[in-house]
Amino acid sequence: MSDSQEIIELFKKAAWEVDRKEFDTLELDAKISELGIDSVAMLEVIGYLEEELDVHLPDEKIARVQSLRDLSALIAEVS
Amino acid sequence: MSTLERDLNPGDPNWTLPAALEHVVASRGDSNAGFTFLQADGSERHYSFADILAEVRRRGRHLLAKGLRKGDRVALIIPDSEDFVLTFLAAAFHGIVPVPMFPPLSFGNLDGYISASERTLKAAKVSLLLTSKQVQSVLWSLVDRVPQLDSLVCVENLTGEAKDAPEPEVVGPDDLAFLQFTSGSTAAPKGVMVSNRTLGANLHAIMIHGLKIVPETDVAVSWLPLYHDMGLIGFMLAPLCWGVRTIYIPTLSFVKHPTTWMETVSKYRGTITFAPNFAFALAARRTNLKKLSAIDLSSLRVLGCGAEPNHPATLRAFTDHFAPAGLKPEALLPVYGMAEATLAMAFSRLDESMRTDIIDGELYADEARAHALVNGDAEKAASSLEYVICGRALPEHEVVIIDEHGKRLPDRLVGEIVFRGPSVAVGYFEDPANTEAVFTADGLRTGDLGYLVDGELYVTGRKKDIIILNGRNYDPQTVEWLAADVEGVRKGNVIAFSRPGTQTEELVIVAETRSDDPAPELAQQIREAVRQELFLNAADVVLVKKGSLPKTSSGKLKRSETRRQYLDGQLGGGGVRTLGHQGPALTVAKHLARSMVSRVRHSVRHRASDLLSALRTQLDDANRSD
Repeated sequence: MSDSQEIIELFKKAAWEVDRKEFDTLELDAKISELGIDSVAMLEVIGYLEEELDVHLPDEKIARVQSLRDLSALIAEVS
Repeated sequence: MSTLERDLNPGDPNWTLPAALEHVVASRGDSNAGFTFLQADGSERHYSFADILAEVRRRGRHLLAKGLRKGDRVALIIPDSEDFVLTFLAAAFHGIVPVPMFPPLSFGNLDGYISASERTLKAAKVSLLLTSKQVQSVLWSLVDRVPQLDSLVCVENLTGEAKDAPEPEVVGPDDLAFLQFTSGSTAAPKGVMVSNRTLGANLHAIMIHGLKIVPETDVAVSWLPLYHDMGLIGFMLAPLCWGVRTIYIPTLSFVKHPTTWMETVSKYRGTITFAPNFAFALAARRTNLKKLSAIDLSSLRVLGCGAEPNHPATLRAFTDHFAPAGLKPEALLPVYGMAEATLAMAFSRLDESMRTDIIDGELYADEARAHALVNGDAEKAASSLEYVICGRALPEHEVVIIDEHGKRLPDRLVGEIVFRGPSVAVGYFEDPANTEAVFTADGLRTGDLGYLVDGELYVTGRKKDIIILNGRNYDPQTVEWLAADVEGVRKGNVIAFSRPGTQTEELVIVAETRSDDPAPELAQQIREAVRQELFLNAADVVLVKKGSLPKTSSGKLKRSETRRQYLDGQLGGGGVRTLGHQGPALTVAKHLARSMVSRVRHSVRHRASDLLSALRTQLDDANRSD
């Protein structure tokens, strides 16, 4: 449904809404653990994406997401 | 004596968890009560108390057939609430001692998680790890790393009836009910031994005196993790043993969609729910007006808050935010407790709104005295502090305040909180040195600081320097060691502590640098090192020059003094200071730091009054220059 660039834009918006984190550029292969968003905030970001895209991302699949590319693929999978 | 007390006889010194569960099934097994587990996809699964007992017996026979006996420890790493509840009870019902452990976090650093789990498994001398298919793949390395751990079993494989299960032994009041390890990351984890006797005493105090529970009409709602004492005891064992209907929201669903919490209370007409302070900030921030209009909180009579320092502003913001949804201000119920006391120690009153005490900040810092500031005084004082009341010690229990020599202190003098009574746990598992230090003949040394006013307790801080972030405890040393390993930092010259954030506690790291002109990326490297291992974000990293951290005469770092200097904005005396690395976010960080410092230094009574006092200062200045 949503392509990768849209996911990146939405992720930026979520990071700002949830954690007041601003990213100028975000690479698709950026490691989520290196973005400086803590675990609770990261789950909030996921929740924000779920609400915006009206999808449900299963916990066990989220646990395997390492990069924005993985996240984008997971969203495509469940959409 | 109420019908309830006579029926369940919960104050009975021979109380045991198995007997209580059997009694509930006999008296309420066929009612609509029971446990309802909401699923992440919105569906629900319901168990009556009779269903629970049958499944607990079935799973328990599997555990017995695997060779587990009364007193043996079994570890639980089970993210799903339903499986956790049934498996925990299967062990405890048969006298096998469950050891709840936290599951791996999404996006977390797995190496750090495995090391922490290894330490806990070794400390508890666990021989079997029960887990679920969902997470088992990452846990197998533990079997190699922990010599005593024989095997790992997925609960999904405990199907059908176990063959050759021996008859279970009878569980008595002095048999252990479970081991509770404090959550978070510590170098030497300590397992609190909760016996059936201490559990019975604490549950009785909570349900009868603290909450005045009415099993026929009360509905409990919880998203709290069940490997944490407040969720495990307060929202699993307590409602189970009193036959109270309970609705479980998956913890991750709450964190992802914080609105779910109050939406669930609304939908199920919940009457009781609890959470730590940070959750109140999260829920208020994420529930917008549109969502709010669909929520009805008129059924809620107890909104408990505990397990981490209560911030008056956060709690007020929450009750204000949800007032249009019918939230009664008197529902808010600050409490005080810790795992070493089984769970609860003090409860505030059910029938009144949150009360706070505003005291003189200077007298607190200089003389450890909680001098109350009334009406006009707060404006005149150089600084003031506000603390949320935690109420009175539970009946048959006592809270006293002592000084460093163990002498009992009078009202409004600040010292260590000591707790006495039948709820105090047995001690730390196979750890006589720490047990002796904490579980003393005079009572439980909580390590927390506070003061009493007419028997009512105010908790002001922690003697033990523990950092509590998002409801989890961290040893400052763990953070400090990680930061000290970063190239360019002076070994042994790092201090970590928490500061009050706008919504919850935040982590601050102060490090002496080897060079007076450190590399610009050093602060970022420290953040990265801590994040990689603990998955914690430092809100502020401050680099200071050699020798500028306050030390005792013997050269030991003074953590609380460093924290005080930091909050006063005097740290390092001209050292290298960075307030964040995220470019545009710098302004926000600076703003937060400033507002935080002013909130601590000046009146913290009201957000709005900050603005008023700033205006007043300006006017005073203007008048003076006239």
